[in-house]
Amino acid sequence: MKKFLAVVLVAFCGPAWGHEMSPTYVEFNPSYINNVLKTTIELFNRREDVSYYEIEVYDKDRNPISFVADNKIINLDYLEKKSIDVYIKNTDKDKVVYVCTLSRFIKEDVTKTNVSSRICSKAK
Amino acid sequence: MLKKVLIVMAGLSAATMAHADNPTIRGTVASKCSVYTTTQGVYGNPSPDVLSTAAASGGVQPIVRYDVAIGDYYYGRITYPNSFTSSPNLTSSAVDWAGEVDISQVSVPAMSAYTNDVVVYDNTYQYDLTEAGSTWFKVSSSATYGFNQAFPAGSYVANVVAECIAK
Repeated sequence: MKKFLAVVLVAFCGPAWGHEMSPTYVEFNPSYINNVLKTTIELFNRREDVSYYEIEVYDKDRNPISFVADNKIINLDYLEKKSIDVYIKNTDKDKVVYVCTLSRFIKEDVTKTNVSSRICSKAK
Repeated sequence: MLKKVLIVMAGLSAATMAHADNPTIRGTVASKCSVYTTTQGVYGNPSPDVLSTAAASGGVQPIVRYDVAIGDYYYGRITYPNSFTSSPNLTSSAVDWAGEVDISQVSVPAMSAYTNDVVVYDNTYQYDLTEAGSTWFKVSSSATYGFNQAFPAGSYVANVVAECIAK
């Protein structure tokens, strides 16, 4: 039985690539610039097939809201972790509902489906 | 003399033992919802005008795993493709897309009920991730080109989008 379980585990435990982001609920606080709010998200790349992530900020209807970050597309190597500061205008504070990160792919010459992962934290 | 030395030493060691240590409490905020790609999908080309991830067509269905640390905090939203992200030149309106998302494996039996409450709109399936644990979703996708038209030779890539949306 143990041998059977071991074989099943080996057979089904292929590589898995993950995208992790925290916190679940973000809070925008005053930044060092007047009328600009800041939050910090942490991104962890456990996807070996992805090296780039895009930051997105949306309202409740998933309409994009303008924001500023060091880079909107971040280079994040496999197993690398990064803290990212996201800045929004004070006037947009009540509009912002989601802060998301989306995995981005490099163009390849293979016929396949890619799985893009998006994780969205909610603004409090 | 010996008594005095002993008293001084005892006093010193007591003073050392009584020093206050600053206990630290460490904690890590980990991601409550993570998306893992356990199987990358591949399109099979069973006939000149069809690309499909179905095993019968020589394809491989992509499988996505959602790990949820605390239940009832996230929605899992999976969107099967309705366009190619990269392909040879096509008349895009002539491509007919179809797809489906289904649960392939669960770590908690109660997750099987997710299919009852699934919300489907356009090409998106939204699941309410009420249970903590892992859920595997398989995605099927097929593209049919025009009326008996053959897909031009080349590589084709389409994106499945798997999202964790905080409630």
